[in-house]
Amino acid sequence: MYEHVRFIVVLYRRVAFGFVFTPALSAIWLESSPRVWLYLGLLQLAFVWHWLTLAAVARQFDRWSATRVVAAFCVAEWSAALALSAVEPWTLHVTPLMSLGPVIVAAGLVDVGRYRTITLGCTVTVAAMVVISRSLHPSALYLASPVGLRDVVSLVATPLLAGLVAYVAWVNQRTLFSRRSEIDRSADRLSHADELAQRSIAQEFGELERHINDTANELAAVAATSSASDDVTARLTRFTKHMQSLSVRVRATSHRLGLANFSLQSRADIEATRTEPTVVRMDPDLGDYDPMVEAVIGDVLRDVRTAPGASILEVDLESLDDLSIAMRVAPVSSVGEDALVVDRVAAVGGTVATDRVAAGSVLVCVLPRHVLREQPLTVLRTVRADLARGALFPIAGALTALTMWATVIPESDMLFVAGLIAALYTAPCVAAWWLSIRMPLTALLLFALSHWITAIAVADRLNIVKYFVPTVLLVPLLVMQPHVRRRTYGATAVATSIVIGASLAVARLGGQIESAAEVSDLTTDALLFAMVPFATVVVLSVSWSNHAAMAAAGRAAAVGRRLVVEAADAQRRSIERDLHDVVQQRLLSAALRTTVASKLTDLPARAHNIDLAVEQLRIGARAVEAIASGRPTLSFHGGDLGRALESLTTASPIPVSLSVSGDTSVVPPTAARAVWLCANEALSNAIKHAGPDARCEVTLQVFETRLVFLFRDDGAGFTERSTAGIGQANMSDRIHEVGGVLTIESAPKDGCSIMAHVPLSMP
Amino acid sequence: MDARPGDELIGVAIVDDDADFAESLAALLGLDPRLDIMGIADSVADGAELIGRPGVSIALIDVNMPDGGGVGLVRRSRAADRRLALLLVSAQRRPDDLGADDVGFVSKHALTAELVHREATARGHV
Repeated sequence: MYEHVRFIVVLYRRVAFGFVFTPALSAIWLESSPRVWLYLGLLQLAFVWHWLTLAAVARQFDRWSATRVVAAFCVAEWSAALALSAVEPWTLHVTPLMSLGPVIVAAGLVDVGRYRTITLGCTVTVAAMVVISRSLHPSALYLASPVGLRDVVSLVATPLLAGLVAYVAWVNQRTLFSRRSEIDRSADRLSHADELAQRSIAQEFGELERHINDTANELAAVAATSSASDDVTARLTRFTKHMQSLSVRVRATSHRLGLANFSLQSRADIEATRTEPTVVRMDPDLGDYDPMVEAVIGDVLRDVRTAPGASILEVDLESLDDLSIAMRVAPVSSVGEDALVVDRVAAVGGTVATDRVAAGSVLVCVLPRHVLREQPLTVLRTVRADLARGALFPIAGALTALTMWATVIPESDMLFVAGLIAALYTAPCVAAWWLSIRMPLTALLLFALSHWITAIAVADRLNIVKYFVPTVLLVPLLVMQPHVRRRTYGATAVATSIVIGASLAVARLGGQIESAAEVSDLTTDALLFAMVPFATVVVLSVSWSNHAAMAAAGRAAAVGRRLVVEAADAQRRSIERDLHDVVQQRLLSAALRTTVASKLTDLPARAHNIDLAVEQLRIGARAVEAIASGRPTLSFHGGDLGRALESLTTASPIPVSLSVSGDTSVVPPTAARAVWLCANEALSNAIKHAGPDARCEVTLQVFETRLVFLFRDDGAGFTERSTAGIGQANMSDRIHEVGGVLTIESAPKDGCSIMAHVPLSMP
Repeated sequence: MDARPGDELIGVAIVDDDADFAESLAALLGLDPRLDIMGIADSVADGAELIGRPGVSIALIDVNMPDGGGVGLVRRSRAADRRLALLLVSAQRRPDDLGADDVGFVSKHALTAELVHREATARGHV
């Protein structure tokens, strides 16, 4: 549950506990009479009830659902507020804020539809408080306080504030939701791009496979009709050349498809393979970096090179804290603005920027050396938008206030006051608006200052204003709250205390118009002075949960994107390895055999060599076919973990038995990718180390809140963790990143068992 | 090319973890009477042992092998015997980390008996 809720509930409980002692303390200096004892006794009951209900909510916090916690908090606060107002109307200073507590707790926690209910409940409670209080005590039980503007303020300001809090929370939630969707969409886009790449690989290598098979057929025909003639020798020589050129073509194709291993250390890889010369400047010592970062730079270079019509004139590879590669391209290249390129660079924590220059563009890509585990927290919304939103409320409030003054206090110098408000309030607001792009935090501070200065200055004119000040102070806080960090809560509370203190002092010393109906007492002032910083911290805590949620979303996004990039790179590297180790070698072996055959005159020996050549070609063709079609795709664009695991097991060279239970379609994409990569890693480890007779067992169980993935092989096992070393650390990291737990057990001759528990909801 | 009297046979060692390719290469080079195939090794460890045998004048070492690869083997052998002619072969382009080692690089596409003979004569001390 959101941390801010726990914080507020505990804070309220502690303050309530403090108030429990006040009636007993007050008895010390109040006169002793049955009336006073009754009064204090009732107060004590109300405070104790308040404290006990809050303590109950705090105790059950972890066990109850969000709605239940809010409902219980509402009951605790509102019932205590009603009780207090019934006993002592003076407490109407305090109780509206108590009734706001649930609204703030509810912020971000319950459905938007329920906000209206809570705001309504809040308003009804305040109205009931006023009515009950005044009807029970036409003249106060102890502290005289006739009906006055204060009650009106409570009735008007409280629902306004409640509405504002609810609105702000709703906007926060919507922003968070749209940010999360945007993050998921970009991860999906990366998957989709990899799927497209997979299809083009399939097409290219499908043709290559057919070509190799045709060559093998022709060669077999030569073997069948062989004679010792020179014609056969010439044909064999032609075959040799053909297969050598096929081998070169395989390499070129894998380069073009981006499959070839790109190396930052290799100048040849950086230089464009075109006829126009490219000026290349490379820092001689690049230091260390993640292979993924290297792959992404290779991708960017390849994308720029293969964009139609563009050629790279200069490349500058700099090694500083980060790795920076700058390319001057002519004519203009839009690769730097391509969403997929930007996503891929962002996935490893880098940035890419394009500048138009004369006759072309300069693309600068800056990448960190090591892939960040967490993306830095970004501000939820622009400050400018928030200021615009926030300015509406004070304007509405000011208009209301002015109207009230004009009607209630006709002698007031309304025009002058209006002018004062306009000058003191509007000027800083305009300045804040102007600064909000370049210096957003300064702009927010100016916005808050505009409220604070106005509150103090106007208090000088009108004593009554001091009752509006808490409302005035809270409005900018609500606007600012997404941009305020937890560590500045203290400073903000101190600032608001200073403001309320100043406005109270100013009102007391200078307040020109005192309505005869109002009693200006120190206790009220003291209470206002104490309540405001409390209210400040409570209001700001709405942003706390948002920051936490955004941080979690950012981390999840980083994990999701990184997994997609890693998976695609792992697949490309393995394809490239197969192309080199298997396909090219077969073609070259076949070429060697046909050369041997062409030099031999002994017919059986020649036929034997030709047969060997044909066999090599067939093996090569089969390998190409495996690359083209058999590779399981890693696309999770609407994909299913169950189906992906199936394709993994069917393509495996060692026998794997798979059992899947539960509904795999509810597994979220990040968890699915993490489990998928683990399965791949575990299987390739088993193939490499478990020995020829190993058999594997894969089990996937999907429950309501978590999934369990189990990989077991009965092969040779291993003793030290170091032999499987990096692969194990990777698996463990990936599962840990999505909030899961990975355990690996192995013993020599006992095989290896890998179990992962992964929660299905985002942490 | 016929062997001329007085020519010593050039001992060739082939180190490549791909057995089919190594045998095909051995078959091709074996056709040349000036070359004598001393053996095929399929790992760096076996390759080091093979190269150390007397009579080996030139070693053809594949770059892409596990356990340090061809470059690692070259460094070990170079340390042992500076008279040996070493040729790295690969289907890919020349690796960048060869540095100043006295070793030749040949693409697998260009391997012929003639080339091997020439390299052995030029680099080694036949």
